[in-house]
Amino acid sequence: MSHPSEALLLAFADDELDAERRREVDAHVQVCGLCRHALRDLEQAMSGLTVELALLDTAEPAGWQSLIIPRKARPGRSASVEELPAADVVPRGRASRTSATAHAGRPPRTFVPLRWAAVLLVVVGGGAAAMAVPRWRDAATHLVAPKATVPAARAVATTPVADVAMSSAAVSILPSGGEATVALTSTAGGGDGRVLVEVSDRSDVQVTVTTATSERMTPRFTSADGRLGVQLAGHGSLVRVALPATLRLARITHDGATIVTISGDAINPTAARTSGVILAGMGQPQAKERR
Amino acid sequence: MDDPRSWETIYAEHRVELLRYVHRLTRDVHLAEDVVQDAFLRLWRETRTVENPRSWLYRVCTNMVRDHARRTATRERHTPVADDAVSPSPEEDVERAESVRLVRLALERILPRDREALLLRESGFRYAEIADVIDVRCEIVPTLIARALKRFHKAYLQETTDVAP
Repeated sequence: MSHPSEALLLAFADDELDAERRREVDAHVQVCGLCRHALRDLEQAMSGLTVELALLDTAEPAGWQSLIIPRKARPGRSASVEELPAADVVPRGRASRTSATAHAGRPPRTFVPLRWAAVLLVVVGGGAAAMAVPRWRDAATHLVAPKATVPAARAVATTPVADVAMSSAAVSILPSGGEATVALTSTAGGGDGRVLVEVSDRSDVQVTVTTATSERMTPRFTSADGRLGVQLAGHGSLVRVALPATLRLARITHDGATIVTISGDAINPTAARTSGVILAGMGQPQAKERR
Repeated sequence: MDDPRSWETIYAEHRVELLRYVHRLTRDVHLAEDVVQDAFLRLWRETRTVENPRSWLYRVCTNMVRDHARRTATRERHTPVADDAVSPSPEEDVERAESVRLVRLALERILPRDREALLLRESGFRYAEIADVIDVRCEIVPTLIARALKRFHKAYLQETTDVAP
């Protein structure tokens, strides 16, 4: 054969040729010093390029690599779960509100602009929605001041809890205010349950639970790397999850079933119906408008 | 999306490499963040029809970078783009920062489509996949890469010579 082109030599070096073509080029290179030299130069150039391009990677933000969620890499991390104390419990006889905040996940990313903040409202358990109305209103009325565990700019909770929970069961995205609110209505048949919040970035994630007051119904919080769990007792609890604006990926599950996932600017309610939670009015996930 | 966990796996496996690819194409950290995030958002909505998410994501990112380049072409003709992320304050970083700058300048001398092919090969794609991502015939992919490689090293050598004392 005649001298192969540079492109053909490259394809040969990249093992992209079919068997017959490869044999031809190989045979030629064996006997042609010029092409053998060209092939060696090409391979060295490609190796050099890899090194030179790697230089660019040294200019990457340090957080990029650590943003990977090592879910599969750490299957046994549940063993390191630690129990958190309920942070503030209102005296018996009133609606109680307990909360916990946990660092979850990876180092902070300082270069990401504040894009949105989300407040998710998850009403778990309880009887029919109509019966739950007074309870929610009562609970909202008696809410104590939230703990200042999350910077105000990140945990946006400007809408009254009871109003949001009762006004609509649909997903509403409020891009103008930089907030996103998801309200989930309860269904009959719920009982004890576990709500789990998993996040990708190291952030303060605040989970607040409002229940009718009784010792028996005091929720328990657990925290592990990237996770914050709430073990609910009884029914009729309102679980509020405040997520920081910089969060890139999150999932909220109830008794193992995913009910909401979050990615970047999008909040995606999942269609799955669980034993104690139903998400109504679901549609396509809605991306938030950039600010 | 039916299976959020699988989406998360895709996200975890490909996010950083996509960021790196777009960053190499654009030398803009923030643009890379935005492009990759948008690509994942699109995947989120379209995953049921996506057979090869990795190629799909690369294609979406490539197209978004092209769109962005078209939109900003006029402005950039008059406004030099500042290098991002390189702040060689420690003395030992000066040399590395200069090398990064030279690599970037050399990459800019490559035609956009050739540069995409070159960087996709560096990302481990086979020629057929590269052809699919940048929408060219598979037969011309090695030609694009070989041409890109030649231009890159010529430009890199030239830049290195220009800055040599």
